[in-house]
Amino acid sequence: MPSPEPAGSRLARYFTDFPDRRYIMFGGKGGLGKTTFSAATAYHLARRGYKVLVFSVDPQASLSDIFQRDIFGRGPVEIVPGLFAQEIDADQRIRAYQQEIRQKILDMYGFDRVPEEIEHYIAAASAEPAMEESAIFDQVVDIVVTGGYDYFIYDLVPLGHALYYLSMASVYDEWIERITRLREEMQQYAEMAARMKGEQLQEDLILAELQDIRRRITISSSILTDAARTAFFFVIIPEEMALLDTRKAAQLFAKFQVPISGYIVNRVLPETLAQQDIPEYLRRRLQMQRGHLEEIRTLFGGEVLAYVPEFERDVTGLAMIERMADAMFGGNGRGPATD
Amino acid sequence: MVQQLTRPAGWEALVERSMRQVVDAMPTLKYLYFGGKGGVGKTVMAGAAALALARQGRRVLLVSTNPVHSLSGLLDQDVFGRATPVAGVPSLWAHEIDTRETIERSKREIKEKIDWFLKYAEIRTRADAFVESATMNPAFEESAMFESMIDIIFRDEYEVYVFDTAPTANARRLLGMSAVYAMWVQKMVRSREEARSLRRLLSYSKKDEADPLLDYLLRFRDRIEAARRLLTDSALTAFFFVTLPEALPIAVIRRFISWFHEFGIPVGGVIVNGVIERGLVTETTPQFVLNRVIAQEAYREEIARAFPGMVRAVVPLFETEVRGVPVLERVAQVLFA
Repeated sequence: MPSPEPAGSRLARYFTDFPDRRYIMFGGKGGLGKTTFSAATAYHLARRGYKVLVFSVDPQASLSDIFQRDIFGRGPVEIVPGLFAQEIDADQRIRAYQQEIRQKILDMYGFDRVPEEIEHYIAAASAEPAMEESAIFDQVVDIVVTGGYDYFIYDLVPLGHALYYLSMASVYDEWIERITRLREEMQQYAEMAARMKGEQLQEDLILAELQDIRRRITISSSILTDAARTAFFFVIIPEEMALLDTRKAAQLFAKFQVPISGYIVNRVLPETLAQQDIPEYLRRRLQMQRGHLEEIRTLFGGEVLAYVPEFERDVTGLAMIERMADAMFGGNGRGPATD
Repeated sequence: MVQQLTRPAGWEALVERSMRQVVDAMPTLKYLYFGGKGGVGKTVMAGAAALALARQGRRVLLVSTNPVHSLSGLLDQDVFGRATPVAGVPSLWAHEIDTRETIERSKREIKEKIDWFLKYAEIRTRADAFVESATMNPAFEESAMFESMIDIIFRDEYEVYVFDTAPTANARRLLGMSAVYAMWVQKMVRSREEARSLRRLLSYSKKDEADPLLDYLLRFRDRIEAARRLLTDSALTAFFFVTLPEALPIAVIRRFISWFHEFGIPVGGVIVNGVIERGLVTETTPQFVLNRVIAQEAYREEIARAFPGMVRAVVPLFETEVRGVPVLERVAQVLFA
């Protein structure tokens, strides 16, 4: 049996106990319900009067599908009072970036159109595999640095890519540090040369720009790995294969020093079904689930913050999101219909 | 006791051309990819397809390109890092790609090339910093995965390859990139050739020297181009998308399919997984189960509208988790019904 306290109350308490943790992430393998949890958590916090932004950094984002509204690439959209949702369109961001480069070239050289050669280079640069991640990352930094919400909920990409994403901050930081050092050295030479010529040196705009990027990234990455401001919940389900993968995943996250705040167990079949006339597949799944729940308690026992029941249908639309929020945080306790 | 499984009643109408018909009609089909949102059962379907094809007596390699692999879990044996014979199934091998080797090898190769280039350009700098920045980018592992996949394909040791792919848009991006890569390499090649002829003009010896960097670029371009040709050849390749009768997975593969059409990657069809049999519902079935069945049937209509004529199989929700070859056999029977 799951914990004797009412479902979800520990998770609700986590939020009241740690009011400073305003950056919320759900991690784990694909297909376990991360997006659903992100949406329901945003709904729960908004209903308690907070201003919340839930945003997706997954190129195959599903927030549009969950809220049943097309929000892809439209910036933050208010779904219900206080709940804003945003789906990042990396391609759009890349196109804007390309346009910026074109404009710079046109302004710099006074061309009326961009030479074909350069167009090719711009196209090639944008096809770099890292480009999409960079575009998304850049937008996330924007969102976090701009602020303006009480809570930020990241709907992370499936595990492997979440790790890239988390490692990105340090990668960027290192890269920028290297470039900045180089620029500073160059500037010293330039200043010397300028002094010898007796001229005033203009402020190095590029260096300033680089340092600005660096400042932004430092803000964003420090948030990601700062246990005082970030809550990172790991989503698991009581199935053997998923548990195997979770063990692998937890090790990977430890490598990136992502502090795990706790585990949320999703898709727990209501035990009351066992006393009813249920099909064989369900009876067997219930039996297996008991074993896996036992295993989960052994592995993560005290760190499980909520056992979330399996619903009788998938979670899309506000009515279902509300039920999910209730199941996760206690709410009015309307779980799935089991009678 | 093992119940015999058939296609779930009421869902047959979705399947105009079955998986079996499509595969039988494509005797040259060699590369099968299984994709879709996380958690829909891609690994299980890829495993079942590989098993079915191996049972026809063909030499089959089942490959996982996921950053977090689950083939070893599915087959209940360790298949990480090398092609491993699957116990109890003659002519089937399984392989979870280990990108660490590829990444290390790429780093070494890049370092050699940069070293050579720096020497060539008479720059006295250590290559390490360049290598670090070239290989530390987050997409590097992704590219390494793609490289390893191409390696496996080009070694050509099997008759059929079945890929369990990552639940991301990377396949489309990497393939879409190959055209741009080719263009970029072409440019590099041109400028290298110019530099080379200039150097020849200026040098006394007039002898041709080797240019490993240029050779590498040309090799790379040819590899990517060859891979693109294979992956866009509808006689050789088919992508199958797995979905559940639920909103999110349907939405994801709808997007995927339109991307794939854009890049000319052949879509083999859609497999619907996790369907609860209507026949299991009786007078006394609890509301919980009944509601699930009703919700699924609403999505059946949506699948019919979204993927007309593309559904190849409907696979019921199994009463146990699918692990190990015996259960996989049963999935294969339904998949190739």
